[in-house]
Amino acid sequence: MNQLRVAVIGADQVIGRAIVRALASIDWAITQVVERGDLEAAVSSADAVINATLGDPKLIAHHAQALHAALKNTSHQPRVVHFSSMTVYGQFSGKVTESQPMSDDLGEYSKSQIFAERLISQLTNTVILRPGCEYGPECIPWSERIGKWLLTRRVGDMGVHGDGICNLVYIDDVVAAALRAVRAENIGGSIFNLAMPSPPTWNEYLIQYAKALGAVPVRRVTRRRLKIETKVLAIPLKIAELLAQRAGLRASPLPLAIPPSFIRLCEQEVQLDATSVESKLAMQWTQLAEGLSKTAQWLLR
Amino acid sequence: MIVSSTDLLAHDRRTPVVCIIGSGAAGITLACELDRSGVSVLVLEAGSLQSSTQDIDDIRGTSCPPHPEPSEFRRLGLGGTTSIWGGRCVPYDAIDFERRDYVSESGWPINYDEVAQYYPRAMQYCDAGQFDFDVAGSIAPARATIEGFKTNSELLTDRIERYSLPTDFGKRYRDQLTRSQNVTVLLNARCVGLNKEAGTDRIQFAEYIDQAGQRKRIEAKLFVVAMGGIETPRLLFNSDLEGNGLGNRYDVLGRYYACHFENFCGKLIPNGARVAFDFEKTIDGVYCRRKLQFSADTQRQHRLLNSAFRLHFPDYSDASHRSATMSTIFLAKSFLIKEYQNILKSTPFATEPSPKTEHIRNVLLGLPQLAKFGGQWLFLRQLATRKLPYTLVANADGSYPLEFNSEQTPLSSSRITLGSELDRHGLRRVHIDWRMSNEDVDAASRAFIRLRDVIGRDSVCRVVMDESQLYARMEKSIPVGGHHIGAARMAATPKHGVVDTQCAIHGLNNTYIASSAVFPTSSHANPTLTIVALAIRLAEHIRRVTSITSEAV
Repeated sequence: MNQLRVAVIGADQVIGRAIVRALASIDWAITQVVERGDLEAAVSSADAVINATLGDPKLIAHHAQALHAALKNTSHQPRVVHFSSMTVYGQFSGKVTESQPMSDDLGEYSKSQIFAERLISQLTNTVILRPGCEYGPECIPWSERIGKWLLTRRVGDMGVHGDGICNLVYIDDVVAAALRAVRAENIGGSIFNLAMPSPPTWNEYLIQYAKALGAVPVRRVTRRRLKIETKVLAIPLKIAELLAQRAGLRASPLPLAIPPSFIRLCEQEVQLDATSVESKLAMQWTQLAEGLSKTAQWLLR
Repeated sequence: MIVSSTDLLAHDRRTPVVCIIGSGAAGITLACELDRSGVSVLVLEAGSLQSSTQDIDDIRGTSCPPHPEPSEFRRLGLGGTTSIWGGRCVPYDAIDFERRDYVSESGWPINYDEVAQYYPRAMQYCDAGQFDFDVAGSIAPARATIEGFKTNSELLTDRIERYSLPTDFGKRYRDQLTRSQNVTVLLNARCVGLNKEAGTDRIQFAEYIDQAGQRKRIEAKLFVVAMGGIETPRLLFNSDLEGNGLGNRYDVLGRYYACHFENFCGKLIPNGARVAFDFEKTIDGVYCRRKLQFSADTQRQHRLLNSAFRLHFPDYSDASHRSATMSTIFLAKSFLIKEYQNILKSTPFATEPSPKTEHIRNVLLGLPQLAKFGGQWLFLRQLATRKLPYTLVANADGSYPLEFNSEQTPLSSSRITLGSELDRHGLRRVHIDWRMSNEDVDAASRAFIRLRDVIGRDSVCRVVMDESQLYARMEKSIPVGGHHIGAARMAATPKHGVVDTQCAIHGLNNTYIASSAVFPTSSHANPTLTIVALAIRLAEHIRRVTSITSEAV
């Protein structure tokens, strides 16, 4: 079997790490972790590049620029699998397919994702993945952070504030989609949403996750309580988090802040339509109960 | 958006695909479901954002005792009666849908699964947690309802009833409806009639009276009557005063009216066994309570109606309970809303009230208990979003009075008709002649005896009652307030019902009913959860017939 040399950008982050682990266990790939500074050299010899940069908007833009610069004027055109996010759809409501125009009304993060996507899509042989909320072991925003909030009963059944749609995608499914995108033929230029079909509401997710964690009875969180969390406590707690990072502490001794953006997301009625990736990459999805069970085991370890 | 009927701007007067009449549990659920599918909807709501005394007058009528005056336990306004409901959420059982040879006119033309698939989502609308009514799946750690009582195939002791917040649908879904681009809720728009298009089988327009008293029309592709179990037959009768009423070619409309009937008789006495009496919280944070119920096989074998027993608290008025809390509630009953005053007055097991001095003595001697109750009342009820449903105080002697709640045999002579008096909008008021059958009394009496015998086989507890008075006592059962069922029942043919299996009115091809009025049988379950489940089912049907895929969110 011909082996493919797969370069992974962002291998120090959750999706990149999981992809590197997965690549190590399969026989058709040789993994090359792209370190800072060696991107150009790494991609020039790669058969495929997975850009799994997340989090910092500046880093997302920077890596996209570097990747674009490395490949734009060369005849060597490896398959580029680029991770974007559902934030490129902005505050859209309703069911959203990949043809929906992008909107940068969700702040810096969505702006940088749109900027990165536009650059990457200028290359040939690209596949852009737009995952919803990645959950699973090591997934900090949607599993670790929320799990800690649930364990301390700071979120739970959020009533009207949790009626929005929770576009979950299990980390293993994200990895599977990336690996299939590396090898699939005739999908150059494609964009795929990644999210489980029939997603739960945020209330359903929070309640089921709380049950998996044993954080029961699940608390009904009032509007007043959420206002205190997001409008009074969020800023000082965030400052404490940043100070703790500066001081070299692994975590702030104070609880994690619940940002107002989290509540806005929980109210948003947008559903990612992932039928395209199901048909083109034959994706199948991890059941929510199974995913939550593994996630809870990891968090409670 | 939500606007008053006089504030609807010309550019918002587009002809909606669906016109829903009523914004209670059914109307709001339906509107929210269709909103997510992009269907344009107009909701006519007779009341405003909050119920007023004038609204109450609009729904007055007459009734034969012991049925309450028709305006009791009902409200107009956004959210309808959910603004005052108790919140008990219980699904129908599979046996409720069966044709049972010992229950005349029983059986639904659809099976249990066709409704049950919508219960999980209905639970979400009601904020009642997961669709799981077993102790084992709902409570952790789960203990037995009666400690040491051996499980048997006859009496189910592992079933619970869940409670909503209670969710006031008008408040809970107001933001969604206000933001909606697809749904317009017209407040103070009293629907006074549905008018057929000449020579066709379709409703052409709904006629309503706006806040200024102007008579107006709304045309739509489809109409849904989403009113309560009394207002629904009232509107159908009033829409066809020259004839029998809409959907009533065979004189079925208004008949088979049922409430649940309830009674109190006997006591369960544990022989030292611990009993799960009080409210508990499920793992998903919902208040719940245990119930005792005969299995479906036992019901069939012994020809029993579907009923439930709950362990109850003693009579408030009898000061021998020695409870400061209950005496305080009894003394303070004049502060309760009228419906609850009437419950205290009309409870069939109520004895002659003890002198007030005895109640005052209870209060004075039980001040610490009262302080604890006061704290609970303040923090678990008044200030809590998820409210403790009600106060349970165990009898001082350790016994538990038995509360009984049962379905009724559908009875064509139990009916809602129009009286001659008109309300301010010119609609004829209702007259309610609610009846129980001899079969109901007989089945209820046998259920108590069966319960005593089944429980008596075990040594951990026993049921005591005066069997010689049982039948006479069951004859004095009262209808549960607020459960108005069956007066526009579902049947496969117009000869036997008002709506078909999709809740479309027989003989009309564009008009539906979303209401407990369509339930052919009453179960022992409170109707709201099933009303919501059927509304979700109807939304799915409407999406199909309007060619809008249910996948569109």
